[in-house]
Amino acid sequence: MLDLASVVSDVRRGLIPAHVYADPEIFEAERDRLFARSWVFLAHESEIPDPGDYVVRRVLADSFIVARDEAGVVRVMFNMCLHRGMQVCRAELGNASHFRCPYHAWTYRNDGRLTGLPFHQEAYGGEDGFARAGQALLPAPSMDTHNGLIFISLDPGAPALRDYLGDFAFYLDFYTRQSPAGVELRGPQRWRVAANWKIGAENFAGDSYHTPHTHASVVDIGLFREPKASQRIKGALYQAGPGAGTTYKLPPGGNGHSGFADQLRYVGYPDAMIPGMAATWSDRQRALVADSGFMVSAATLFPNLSFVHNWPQIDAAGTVVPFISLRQWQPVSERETEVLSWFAVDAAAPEDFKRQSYQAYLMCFGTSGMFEQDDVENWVSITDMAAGSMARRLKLNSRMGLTSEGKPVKPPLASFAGPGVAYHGFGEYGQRHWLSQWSDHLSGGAR
Amino acid sequence: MTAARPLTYGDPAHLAAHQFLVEEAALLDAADYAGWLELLAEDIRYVMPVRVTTARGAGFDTLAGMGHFDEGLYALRKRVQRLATDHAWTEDPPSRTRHFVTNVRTFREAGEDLRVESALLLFRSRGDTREADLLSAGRTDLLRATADGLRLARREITVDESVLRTQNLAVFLLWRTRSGWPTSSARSWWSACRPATAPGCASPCRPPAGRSCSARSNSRP
Repeated sequence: MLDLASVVSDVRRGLIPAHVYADPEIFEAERDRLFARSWVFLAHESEIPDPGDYVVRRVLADSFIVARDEAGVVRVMFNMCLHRGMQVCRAELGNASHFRCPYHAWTYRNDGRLTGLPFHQEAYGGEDGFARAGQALLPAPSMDTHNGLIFISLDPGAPALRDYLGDFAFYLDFYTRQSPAGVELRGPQRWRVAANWKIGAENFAGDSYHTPHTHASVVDIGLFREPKASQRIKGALYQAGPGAGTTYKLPPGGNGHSGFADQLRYVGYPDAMIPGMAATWSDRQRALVADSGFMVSAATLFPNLSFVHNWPQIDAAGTVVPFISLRQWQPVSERETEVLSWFAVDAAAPEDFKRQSYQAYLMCFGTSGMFEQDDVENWVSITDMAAGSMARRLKLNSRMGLTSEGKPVKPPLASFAGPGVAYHGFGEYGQRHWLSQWSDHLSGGAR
Repeated sequence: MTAARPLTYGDPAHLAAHQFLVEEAALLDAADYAGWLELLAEDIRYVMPVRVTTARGAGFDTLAGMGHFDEGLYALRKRVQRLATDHAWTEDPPSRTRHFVTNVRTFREAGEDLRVESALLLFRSRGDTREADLLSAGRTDLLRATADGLRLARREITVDESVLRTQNLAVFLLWRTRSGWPTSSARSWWSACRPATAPGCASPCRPPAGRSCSARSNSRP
């Protein structure tokens, strides 16, 4: 019998009972207490640019149609026919004005409204027997967007998305708002891995410590110059709102705007893109890059959306090109995760840059990415080890950066321009920040 | 330009193309990546689109602008180089893989070039506790006739799943990863690395050539 209070109490102290990474009872609690109320990412508006465009996405076992209706409004609808429960739309994406259930041909507009009901008069006696008017596919209980990112919550009383994002919205802009045109997403690549969903989410929230070793091969072959331990330890780790992430410290640039441009050039942004970032980001966002000298790398927005921004060399001449990826750790079971990995790029970027940035993404992340390959090997192995009896006797130490009294080993960075709290060097601050939210949900009631 | 019908099985061009695929697989099964790279044209394009489930009338079943691979020679060389380092954990210990190449059809293209379609089944087994992966795909290759024989100028892989059931594509759809120790020197430093020093063993076990030993030292020699 699971003692959830004891698990949560250990996790809050930075001691993680290892079985949480392969425990069906924990998974059930996550489904009922966490995913039943948290904001969860589904899609980006650029994936459905035109009226009628749709993608089908899930939150755990629940399938949703994310569609742009004829009026251009984004709708998120539970993909289950009101009549007998058939999955109404069985494609992953496409363009449709209507969705017709294959079973009895009940038909819905792409805004969800029931419009076609065969033999309505003869079989049901018309509106009197079954009121068709006002019937619609169940809408997502809460739906909201930010920078074109479409989130839903299964909780009808969820806070406004912007309130939820809080200080993390500041960091989200680096990945999803590099110009007024916003970002466009391509993909996702989808694959299933025999790993618990939490491991990837925690890793991206702050594990700069794994980079020098797990990803040593990428340094060995000269693909990415930064992840050496000597370089990675200079970065800052921040925790802000429901998110946390890692950064790299860049070499000093010039002062003011020229410094800002120097840093962006260093990671490979072409001059054509720099005005977009200069105009779109706030003084404080620009200061994080120019004055503090930090460039965002990995991050996780609780619970299961992660981000990465790296700048590998994409050719033999040593051309450095940055790329952005969004990735979701979609729980399938306590031991299986579907990874969805998108390539993201500023919609206003030059076509040449988009092409090169896509090359950079493919080499580093996603199904074939040279970084991701080694990450997933770790996560599968942890999950495998966590499934047995001995894992119930082991508490994994996630206290890096804390003294035995629970105080930070070193004070937060004073000169960090971003909101939230940031620390210099290695430490499991971001993972504990993520786990603290996980604990809040699991110690709350079920929905 | 493309002939509507495949060459007959007795056609010397078909036999040469079929043999190319089988010999290529043999090279890779022997972990001879350097040899494999020599089979590639300088301008090779190696692509594997993401397949998606769409309505029959949609007119497409791959994602626009996103693949699992979209590589030139530089990227392919980097991938080979990476697997040859001592830090490619995802394939150390290596998977046991076998590539089954079948249903070979050859079409004559412009000049002496050949377009070859084949079916591929990849079996991949990792470790001793996990279920094995199967990956089924079709391939369309462009083989270019050169003075040195046929060279692979383009490969398009049409995978038959939209959600891949394998942890990554570290093993390409045409090669297997190394199945033994790559060099005798690797074996000797590994042998010297006792299991007792395994956890966090980078310094006590540091091998002569600056290798580290996390993966291998966990096994008894």
